[in-house]
Amino acid sequence: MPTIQFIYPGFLLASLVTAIPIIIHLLFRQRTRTVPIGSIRFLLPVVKEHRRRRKVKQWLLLALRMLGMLFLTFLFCRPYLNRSELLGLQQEVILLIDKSASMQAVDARGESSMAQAIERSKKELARLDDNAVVHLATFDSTGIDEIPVEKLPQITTSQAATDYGLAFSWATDIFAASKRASKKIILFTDLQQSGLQTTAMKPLPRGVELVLHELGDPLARNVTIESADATQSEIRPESQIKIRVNLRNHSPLVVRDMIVQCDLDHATTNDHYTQKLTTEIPVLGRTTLEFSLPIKTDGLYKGKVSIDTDDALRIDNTRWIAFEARQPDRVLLVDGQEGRSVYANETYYLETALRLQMTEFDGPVRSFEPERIVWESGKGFPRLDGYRAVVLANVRQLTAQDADRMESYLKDGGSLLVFAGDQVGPESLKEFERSGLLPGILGRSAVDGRFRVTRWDNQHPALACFNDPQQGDLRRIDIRKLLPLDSLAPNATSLLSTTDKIIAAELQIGKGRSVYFGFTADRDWTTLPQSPMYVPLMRQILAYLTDQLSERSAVSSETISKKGQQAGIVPKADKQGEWLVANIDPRESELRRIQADEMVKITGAESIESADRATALEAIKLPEDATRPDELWTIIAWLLFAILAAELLLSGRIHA
Amino acid sequence: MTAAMVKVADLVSPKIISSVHDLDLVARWVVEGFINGLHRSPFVGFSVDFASHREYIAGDDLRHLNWKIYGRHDRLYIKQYDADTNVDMHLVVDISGSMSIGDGAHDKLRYAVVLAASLGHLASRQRDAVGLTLFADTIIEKFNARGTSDHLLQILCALAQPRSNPKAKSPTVLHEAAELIPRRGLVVLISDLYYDSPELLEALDHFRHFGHDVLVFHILAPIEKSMPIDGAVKIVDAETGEEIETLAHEIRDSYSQAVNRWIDETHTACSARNIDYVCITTDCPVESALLDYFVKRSQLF
Repeated sequence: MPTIQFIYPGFLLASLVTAIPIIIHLLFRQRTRTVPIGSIRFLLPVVKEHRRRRKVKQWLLLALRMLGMLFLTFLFCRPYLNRSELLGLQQEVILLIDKSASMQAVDARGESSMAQAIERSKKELARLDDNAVVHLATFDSTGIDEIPVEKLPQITTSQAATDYGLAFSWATDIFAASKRASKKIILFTDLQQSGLQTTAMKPLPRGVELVLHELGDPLARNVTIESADATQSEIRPESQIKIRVNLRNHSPLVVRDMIVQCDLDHATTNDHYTQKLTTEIPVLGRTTLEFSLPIKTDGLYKGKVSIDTDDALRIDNTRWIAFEARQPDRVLLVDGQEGRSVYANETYYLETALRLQMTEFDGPVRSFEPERIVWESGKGFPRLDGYRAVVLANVRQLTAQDADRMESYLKDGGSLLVFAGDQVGPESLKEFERSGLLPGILGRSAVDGRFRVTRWDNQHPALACFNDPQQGDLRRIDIRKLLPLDSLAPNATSLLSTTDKIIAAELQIGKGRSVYFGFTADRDWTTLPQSPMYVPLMRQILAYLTDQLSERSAVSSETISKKGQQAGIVPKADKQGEWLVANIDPRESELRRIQADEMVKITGAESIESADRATALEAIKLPEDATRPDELWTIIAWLLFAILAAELLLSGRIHA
Repeated sequence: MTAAMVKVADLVSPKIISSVHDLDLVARWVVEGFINGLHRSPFVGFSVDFASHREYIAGDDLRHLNWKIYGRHDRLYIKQYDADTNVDMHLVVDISGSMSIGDGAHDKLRYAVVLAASLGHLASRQRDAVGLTLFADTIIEKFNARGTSDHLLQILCALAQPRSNPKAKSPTVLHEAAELIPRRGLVVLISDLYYDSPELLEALDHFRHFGHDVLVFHILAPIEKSMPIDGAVKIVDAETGEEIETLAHEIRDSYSQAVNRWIDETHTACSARNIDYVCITTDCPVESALLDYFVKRSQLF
């Protein structure tokens, strides 16, 4: 039931004045005069008739006077009607508290948005009637957590992003199961615009009221590290390890002389590298810095990039980074014969492709260190220690000793890539075939024709990227002459094939791998070197053979997307030796806000009430004489007026 | 107010006497008269005392013209006499407890005594015999009608004598009074008539039965008729001592209506018996009350 509450309840003590009419009645009681009369024979019936009526009137008059005094007291108490109880039986309320990372932002008084949210939630809860169904939930991009009301003070922020779509979708489901007439969502948030970008917003059901508590400082100063990536992780004599850092200034003031510090530690040797740079960021602008670190030891490096600034949101002032610094992979290119010029070398195109410094798709810049030699029969292979892969291009007359050394090399983890050519045939590679170093049995001789790749192993790590036609279409490889494999060796897998011929295949030998291509590495048998696919295909194959593709996954990065996840570098639970770098979503740093009317359109709420008005009034301490909108003094005044009028009328009739 | 407060001087005050000086007491019924007068009596008067002359006006009896003056001055004058008739007027005055209320000029008993004395004076000036009966629950004192001045003085003394006011619930005593009046005459009953109406009318009928012309002066205090007071009052029945508390202003209208209804009923009942009934409140001057009554009586002739 609705209750009447008072702004100045202390005045209720003044309700004792209701006794004043009784006191006056007792003190100034009308003394009866004794009047003799000849006979009371005519008085008796008249007095009996009037006595009962008079008593009713007198009690009524006394009640009116006491009521009048009581209402006068009420006027001073300034009553207001608390309708929450009335609404309570028909009300279902969801309190949604944004617990995203941005709620850690502090205002000028040093109070965080989350602290404000908790305080305002307490007030909203206090206003709600006990009969109302109340859901208290926190939300971010990782999901919704419904929590008991009594645990409100224990709510803390997460490091995930904001997702209004997720929150409103959950609230819609709750209301769908509700039979209560009045449905209200009270949202406590900093109204980050980025919160609308994750999950699509669905309109709220009809009749849902939205109360918006906009928290934090809309003009807060915030500088953030949007990204920090190792752009050069190879250890080369002529260059240093590069860490590229993107910074953004979200505040309306220029940021000057900002110190940006990069700290890295070797995972095993505990070598520590640190570097500081000073920069300036324009208003609402971005800037990019590049740290150059003299790292010479390969291995896993973990660290962070941080800025030293006293802005509103601290959590985005640090960005965690991890990468593997490694030496370039040495590849031995063995030409079957010396070309008449450099360009006529069998491995010219391959060497050129491998020497390019480029990223392997979304990874850091990687390169190979190719070393070319011309095969001289009888001399055999040089020392193969230190080479990650050996490429044989149109090489003939490989001896049994060469085969033994190659077998030993492969079993120790090396890789072999064999290209066909005019000098290659079953006879020239018979020792390799005999040692099982090839993935199959070579055809008796090369065949001329037009050969197209019709099938390839799209699950193979080296070829999976070509499932996306934008990376290149393997079916466009034009082969004019081919020395195919007649059959595959046991455990060998076909990489490329025509409808009836195996163009390329792979065989695992010990820790190493052997790959055979049935065409030349240059343009003699195929137009592949002239194709845009040549460089990516060759680099993918060599990256695969040198284990670059698998090693790159030792470190992976992601934005925080799981419940309870914290920013930092942690080992992967399911993959030993691999590390996960988790950072907050850079969009969380954007404190740009959604306008209230925009929120109305997006949510489709029946009515939207900005709680700022009430909270602002509370914040500025209402003056004593300010009037509440729900005060009842006008009604009380009219009632008092009516009571006084009735009292005048009745007393006039009694005393007339 | 008790009768002890009434002084003989009050009863014979010149003011009262002069107020009724020029009125003719004309009996409605011719009873027994010994003196010829102007009234139509079956008994021709034996003596007429000349009083004065006045100019003739149309309608005057020509028997009373003074022809000598007409012959001497050629003007018509009428001889006037002191008395026109001679009747027994018997004053029956109620001095019971209910008559003792009021104070000062509004004392019912005092008012009744003054009224009775005035009527006695009038009768005496008319040379009528005056009798008196004072009663309450019984006859307290009784004087037969006589026409001497000493007798009038005795009556006035009896009226002025202080007495206790016994209770009187029944008008039975009036029957006794009727029986004790020896000759027909004018019976003037002065009372507040707080009796049971049938019993009262029976008593009045008793007077009428003996051929008396009956005048009833119904004396009421203002408070008894219109309750002209406000506020809480404890009203005490002067007869029984019974008390009742009420707000006077609240019951005023209902009470007045009840009393007026009673007065009207009594008046109607008296009229039906050829009894003259005058209700007077003690706030009315005795002079005006008498004047009103006698004017009304004179219009009957």
